[in-house]
Amino acid sequence: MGTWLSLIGPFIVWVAHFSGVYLAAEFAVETLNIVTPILTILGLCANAYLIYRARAENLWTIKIVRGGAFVSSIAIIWQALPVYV
Amino acid sequence: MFWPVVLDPAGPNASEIATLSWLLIAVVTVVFIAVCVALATAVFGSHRWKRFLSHNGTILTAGFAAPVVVLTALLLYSLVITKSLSLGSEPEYLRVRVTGEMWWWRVDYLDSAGHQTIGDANELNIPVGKSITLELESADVIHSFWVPQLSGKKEMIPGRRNILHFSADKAGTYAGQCAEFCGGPHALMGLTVIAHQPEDFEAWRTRRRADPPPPKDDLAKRGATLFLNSGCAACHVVRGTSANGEAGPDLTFVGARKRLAAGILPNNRGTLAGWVADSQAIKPGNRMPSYPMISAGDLQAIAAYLEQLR
Amino acid sequence: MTEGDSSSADFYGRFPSKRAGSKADFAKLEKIWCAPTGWQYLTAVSNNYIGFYYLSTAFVFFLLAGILALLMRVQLAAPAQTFLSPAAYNQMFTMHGTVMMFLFAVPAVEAVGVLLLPQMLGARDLPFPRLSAYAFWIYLLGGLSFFASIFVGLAPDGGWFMYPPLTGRIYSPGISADFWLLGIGFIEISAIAGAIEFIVGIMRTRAPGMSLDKMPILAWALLVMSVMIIIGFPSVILATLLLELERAFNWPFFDATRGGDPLLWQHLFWFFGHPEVYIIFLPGAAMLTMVICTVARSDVVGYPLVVLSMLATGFISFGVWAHHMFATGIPDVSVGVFSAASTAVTIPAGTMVFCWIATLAAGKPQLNAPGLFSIGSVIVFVTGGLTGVMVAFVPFDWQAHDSYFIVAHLHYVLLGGMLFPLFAAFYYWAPAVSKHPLSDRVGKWVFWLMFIGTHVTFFPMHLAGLMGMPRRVYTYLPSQRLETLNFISTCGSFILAAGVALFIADVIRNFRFTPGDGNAGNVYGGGTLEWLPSGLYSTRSIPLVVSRQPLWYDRNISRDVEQGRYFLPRSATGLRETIMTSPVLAEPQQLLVLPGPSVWPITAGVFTSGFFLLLTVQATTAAVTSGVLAILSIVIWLWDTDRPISTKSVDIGEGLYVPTHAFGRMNHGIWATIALLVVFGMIFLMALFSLLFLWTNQPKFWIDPPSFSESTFAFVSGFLALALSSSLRAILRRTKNVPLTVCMLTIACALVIYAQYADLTTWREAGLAPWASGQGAIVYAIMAHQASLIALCVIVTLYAAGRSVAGLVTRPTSVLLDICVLIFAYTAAQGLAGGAVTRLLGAIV
Repeated sequence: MGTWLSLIGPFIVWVAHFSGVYLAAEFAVETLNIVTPILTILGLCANAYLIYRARAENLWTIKIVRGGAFVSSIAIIWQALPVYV
Repeated sequence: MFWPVVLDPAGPNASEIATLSWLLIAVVTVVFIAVCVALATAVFGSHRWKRFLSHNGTILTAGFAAPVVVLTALLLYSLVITKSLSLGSEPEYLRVRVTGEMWWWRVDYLDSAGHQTIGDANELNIPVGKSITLELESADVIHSFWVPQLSGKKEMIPGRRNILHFSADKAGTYAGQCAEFCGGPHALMGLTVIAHQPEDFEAWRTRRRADPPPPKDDLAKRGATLFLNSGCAACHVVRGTSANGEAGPDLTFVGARKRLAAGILPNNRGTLAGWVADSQAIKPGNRMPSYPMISAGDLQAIAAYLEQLR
Repeated sequence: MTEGDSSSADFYGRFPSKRAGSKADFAKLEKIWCAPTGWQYLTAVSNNYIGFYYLSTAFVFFLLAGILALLMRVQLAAPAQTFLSPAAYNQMFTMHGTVMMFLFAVPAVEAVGVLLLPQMLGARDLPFPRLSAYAFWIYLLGGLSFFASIFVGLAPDGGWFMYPPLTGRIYSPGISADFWLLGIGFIEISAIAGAIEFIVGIMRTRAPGMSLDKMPILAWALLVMSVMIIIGFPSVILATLLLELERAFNWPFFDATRGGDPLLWQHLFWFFGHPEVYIIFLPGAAMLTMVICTVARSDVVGYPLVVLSMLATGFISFGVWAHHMFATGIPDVSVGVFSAASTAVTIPAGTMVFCWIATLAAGKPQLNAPGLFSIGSVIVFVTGGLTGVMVAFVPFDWQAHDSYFIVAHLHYVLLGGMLFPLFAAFYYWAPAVSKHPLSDRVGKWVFWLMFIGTHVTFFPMHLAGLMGMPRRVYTYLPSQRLETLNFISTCGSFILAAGVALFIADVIRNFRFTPGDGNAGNVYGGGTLEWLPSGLYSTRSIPLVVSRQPLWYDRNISRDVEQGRYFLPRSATGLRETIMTSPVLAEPQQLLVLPGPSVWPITAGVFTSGFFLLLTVQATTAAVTSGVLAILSIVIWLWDTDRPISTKSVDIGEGLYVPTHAFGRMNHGIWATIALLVVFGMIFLMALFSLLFLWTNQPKFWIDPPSFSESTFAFVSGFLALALSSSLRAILRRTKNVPLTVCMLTIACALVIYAQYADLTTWREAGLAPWASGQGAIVYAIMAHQASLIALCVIVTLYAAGRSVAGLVTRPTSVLLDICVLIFAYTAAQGLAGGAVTRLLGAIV
């Protein structure tokens, strides 16, 4: 199961970030300015940690985790933008 | 003849979107051509080019890095205009409540307290260069207000009041249509927006606040009586008369409208008579029954009456 | 054997074995997997048959929905035509969308999976063959009766998206909307059944050695798709149930005048509806990838990138649903968030496109029929994808939304992302199921007709949309100047149809489905396991996989497999069986005994369909009878599975012994139960979302919920049930005492029932009725969902009791009790969570 969690880890991070920002935007707009930066920083750190954690896996898994963390981080940054624009 | 209305804006909202549209069209055209060229090279190209295309680096550059850069720029640009479009910039000049009803539009011009000053239907008159605020509501199912030359669409949802800010920068007549499927003759739920020069608009507004003049000729007078006695008044308002039904469109100035039956027919005595006699054939399923029992002569009288309500 | 254990790797060196399998073993294998005759075709459960039935049915629905499309195109060929009345047109576009999405696209990709997946993974069948059969029969019967509604003019006419209030009982009286809600709602059962089957099959029945990085791309796609189905489909099931409750019992979920909200439907529908598009697209993209590999004679370039793209798409597609709602006036920031996610989801698709191009460039692509179809798919898909990027940007979407621009966009995406790949797959894989391949020459004609037809039909629609033509219109006026574009589109649709007609002619001439009598074989020279010589038993022996294209890597593999030099060259137990392997490295763990043909899946299918259809026509008594018979059929079908087996472990080749049973978390039944509970859990989660949504949007209709102190009994008995079922898990690990466990299950059952009763009572005392307000409706709906789980608890308790009395529950090999305990623990936990959340929202002001 550990391998599986590594593989999808970055996307779980994305889900958490998305849900947080969406729920705040939809149901508690006033908290958005606090929630978004916290979640965004947490999400990016989590992705960095996942890359670090996966270093012991085989090369193939490392590739997927790195790529996933990259895509997840871009999506996280993008979905934080509307709060600031 | 094929010039798309979305790309022929007549107001600042639609122009901003048209600019974005052109940008997007340009970007996707370039990308499409690039992909097709790459595909053709992959199949028919020289060995060297094929080797280049089959590199992991090429995939990552063309399929990942490049889109990320382009899309980040486009996303930022689009978020900025999204915000400015939904806020509306200038002070509000005119506020109108447009209510979507099964297959026509109720148009109420509001005063500052939110009370109706002028009731109308299927036609929205606005001054050029002034900021307009629409309160979009629905009386039954979901409809969507769309006048492509002036603004993007906004839905009318039961239980909600959606606000749309826009303005026109050229005088003219702009067609609109319901964009959310609303059952039955959804296809025939049109709307006309007329943008006047500000002074013309004020003149129009003054005219409309008064009651329409009483019928002058005999035919129209007979038509007025028939209108009140044949059941029309149960559903329609004609200010200054006893006709006060609220179910259907306000007919106080029906003769002045450009089009009939929610944007689908030209407005003249013939089409008015035809509509009353057999609206169900023209717009199947609409809420107004056909009146085949009214004789041709009476029909002409009613049409004459309606036509002079202007 | 546990994951990563080196002992299996030592064994791998012994394959292919020196000794070939015996003729007698082979004869026995053939006899166990023998072809059905006569009526047995109805009771067949093997994937070779069910997969074929499934795919043929899906194709028939494709043709039917296609004919509807042609009729609509005729109506739109000129302005103000009266070929179709508005009523007929509205039914037709509703049916076209619904049938294409629910009865063609999803079933078709699932059917391809059922037909090809086991062979591709080197398994003898899917892990739950009877479940596949059941899924197929409800799909066939439900689908046909649903479609028949159009012949009697009773077809639903509110669009495939079924937005209330238009589809509520005021604006859609009569039963046509109920046909949609009940008909489509239950056909989803079959999609979910298939998904559970795929998850377990792909994770656990791969050929030894087929670790994650050697899995065929289609297996990856079907895995991601299946997880998406069990996450996404519950939302539409909930939505249809709520709308049906509103229509039948006047519970105002979507009625804004009574504390409901029409927008709630849109959230629930699109939370399913957008992932649905990717559910269809991912298997399509995977078929494309596999076909491209073969026609280019190259392994996938950037295999990890393709897998990564599929994972990314699977996740991010759940964050884009509200881009169908940009014009509804939802808050600005959320619009932006959805726009960002919609932009992000295009990136993996772009990466995949360049992987395809790279794979083509790495080899020497042949321009045969599958090759043309796959290159054509890429072009069509890229066109649709790019317009998709355009509509991800909110201001552009405000213009394009609900216009013909979107009609063009979605058809490009679905045709390029699923239909063209499917036709590529038809030509590519036909030799695997038919005695003759399809004609490559005809195939090229089919391709060009379809490719040209697609562009001629759909390209002008972009322009029509930008010219102001809204969607779902039965006509347009001469003054709109749309006639030329529409006429071109209509011509194009007939070119496209001609391509499909030619394909049918090719199928009639060349396609011969004779699975018992061999197939045309590896005509295109594919490298994956489904191209091994095979019969109804799949392959003579199950190969050891050491590369992604085993047939290219080892030229002798086909011969060795056929001579039985690999795993399981016989039936070890005399029954149908396959090897279960570990989820990551695919090391052999267990011999899985598979159930054989049975009449009960089809009976269960008939009665399940009967239940829902009779409910639609309001024949309640008959419906309930049918429902009871359906449950009985399922119980009988399950009764003769999971039997005690005398042989505890068997040799699967070269002295590698594996057990015939697995315990606890290793067991495939536990895996399937967990997947099923995820479905229930998602329904529950979406119901909680609905509660939150109505509470924030319609607070003035909210009454004070009963306090926690008033509800002590409900919570205490709920906690007791949870504690009991959790401790039972620990107890089961030690005791073999079956009657004791069953007794404790009965007590747990009583506790959850009491908890529910107490919960209901406090709400009634608080004065809340389900028809009173949105709050009442959703609170009672959450309780109803809990009640349905409790009903499941009662049924499994009775079943467990029955089996233990019959002496069929033998600890520790049977996992029936573990499954019961899992269901109980979940039910108790859900009851507590539901009770708490419904009380908390509203208590906070």
